[in-house]
Amino acid sequence: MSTEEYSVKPEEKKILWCDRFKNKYVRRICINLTLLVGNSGGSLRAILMAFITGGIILAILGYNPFQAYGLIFQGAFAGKYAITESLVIATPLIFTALSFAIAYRCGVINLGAEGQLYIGAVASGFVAIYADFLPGPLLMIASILAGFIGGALWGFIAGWLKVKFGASELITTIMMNYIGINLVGYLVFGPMREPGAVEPFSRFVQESARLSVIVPGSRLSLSFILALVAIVFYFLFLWKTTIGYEMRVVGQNKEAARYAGIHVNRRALLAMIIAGGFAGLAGASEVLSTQFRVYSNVSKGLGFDGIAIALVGANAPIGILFSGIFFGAMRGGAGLMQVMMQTPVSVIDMLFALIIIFITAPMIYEFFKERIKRFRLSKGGVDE
Amino acid sequence: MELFGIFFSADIATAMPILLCALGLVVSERSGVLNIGAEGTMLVGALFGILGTYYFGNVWLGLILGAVVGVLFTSIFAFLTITLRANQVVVGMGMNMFALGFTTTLHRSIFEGQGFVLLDKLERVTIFDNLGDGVFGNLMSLIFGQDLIVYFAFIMVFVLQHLIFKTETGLKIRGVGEYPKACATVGVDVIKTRYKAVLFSGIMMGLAGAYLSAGQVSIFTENMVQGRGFMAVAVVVLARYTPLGVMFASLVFAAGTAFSYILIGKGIELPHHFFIAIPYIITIIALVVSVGDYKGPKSTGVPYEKSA
Repeated sequence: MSTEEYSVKPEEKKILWCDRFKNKYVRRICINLTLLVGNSGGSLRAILMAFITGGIILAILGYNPFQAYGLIFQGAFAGKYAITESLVIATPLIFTALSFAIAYRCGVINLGAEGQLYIGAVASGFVAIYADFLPGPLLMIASILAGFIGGALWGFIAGWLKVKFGASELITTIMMNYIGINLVGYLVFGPMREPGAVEPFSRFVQESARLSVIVPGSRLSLSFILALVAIVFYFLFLWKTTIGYEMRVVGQNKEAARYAGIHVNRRALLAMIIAGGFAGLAGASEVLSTQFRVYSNVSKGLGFDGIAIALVGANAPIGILFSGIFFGAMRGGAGLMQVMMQTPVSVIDMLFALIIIFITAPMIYEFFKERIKRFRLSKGGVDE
Repeated sequence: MELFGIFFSADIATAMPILLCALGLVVSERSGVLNIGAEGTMLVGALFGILGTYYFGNVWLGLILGAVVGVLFTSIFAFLTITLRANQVVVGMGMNMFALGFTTTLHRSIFEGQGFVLLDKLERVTIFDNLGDGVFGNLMSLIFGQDLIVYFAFIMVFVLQHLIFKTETGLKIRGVGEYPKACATVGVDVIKTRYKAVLFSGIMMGLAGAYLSAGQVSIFTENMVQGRGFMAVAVVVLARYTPLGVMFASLVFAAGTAFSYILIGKGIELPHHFFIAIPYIITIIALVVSVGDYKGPKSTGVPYEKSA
């Protein structure tokens, strides 16, 4: 199973557009903007197509799609609380999207964000519960770092298996998901379980380890700021450092990279480590800013949602930020739709999936355009 | 000894949906298409298996409906990945997500959260009425007391083993999975062969899901496949892409879960999560030690492009 064909389409072609500017600085800004946004143009079309297709399915199932979409929008953006809630939901999604994106940029498919998130969550929770000897802010930082390291370790294993033994990361990351989820299950059912608790969950994390709320009266906390920092890091690392540059070269053409003397395996391994770390931060942010304890089901597919978000954001920093917020808003807004018109929240999964499909198969437009053209031609032929 | 009987019957029951699904996957992966969407296809099959049983009042019609919908669902995947050459892994993940959203929405809109009673159930075969107790009785009821789908699955193992390795169709399937370009030059229709293989896998996955819901527990619950489709993907890797291997590998995978059920049932305080995780660890080890051995069809996951 080669990963060559997964490589990212070069964005560099698009940058040529910036050459029209003679001023050096204007051109610079222009290039960076293009990199930040990426090829997100196709995403808007995909989102539109997904909403149309999803609307048809909703109508067939007997729900009014316009009312449903209206309520999702209203639930996501009407009022300060709704907006902050959308951002709260978006936070872990941005991390898992970065996890998929950085691996993808290096030609590695990380399907293991879910497991990395679990390990990150439990590592972060472990420090935040038991390392109570650390003073306030230090405990918080240590807990966040633990989340990163936990996830990175899980990503490292899959990466190491790939570069050392040639084991396909598609399979190993999925396996590592289940191993991670069961490991957390074991810890939460066993050693870390709160004594006397009916349900299996850990003790609460220390007050001082919790990420503080930044908008009063909401749940929006420092973890969102952390997500923004992660996006900035993602941009600077991939586009402004030599190692990041080499990683992108590996992602675009492994053979060329090898020929140019780049350590392909080392870069792929590093990509998996950072990818795992990002996913681990998603887990840390869930434990330290929304759930406050470790449950045996920390996440219900946040890792997989990340794939959709990375794709919609075209693996570009700003693209991921906006698509993360968009997805968070949809998830947040769906609650209102369910309450008002009994349309299940799961409609959102359907819409996400359609978006993924329309983005991954852009040939679909060409295909049907050609069919229609042929159909018209054949009809025209009959008329004559 | 009694515990062995319980263990093996739990093992077979747990293994069955995985085995059915993995048998389909073997064929599709041999032809060069990796269908991560197995999980979702099973889920759709599971819902329609129940719907068919509920509306037709016959569990066999339910199973057939599950298989049919499995094919329809897979045909979307096939169109996107084979005709349009989209990334198989990402589309597969998309199909899983779609299946989860679609089945949950449909299930709620039909049953509106209320329970329902299935009138027809899959009966176990009763060739011998009274097998008695003891080791012999247990063994006999294990062998002769399963439902028909179990026998079907085990027969399919050998049928597919023969089909893939001993027939011309099998040669074609393996050929387009390894060297599609070479096959095309000798006149094999790569696209058509892949379509056939993938659609066949759709039948098996849909059936696997319908068997899980209508055949085994007579109820549909949201996201009830619970990773069995991914397990089947792993089973195929562990089995080195042979139907016979798939049979043993799915029993190994199910053993972990079956053992943990028994532990929970007996109230034994052993970490049952550990036993569930073992098969996944085994799969990774199997992947790693297979260096230099057969590592699966070369073109799995690679879209085939007709060159002019």
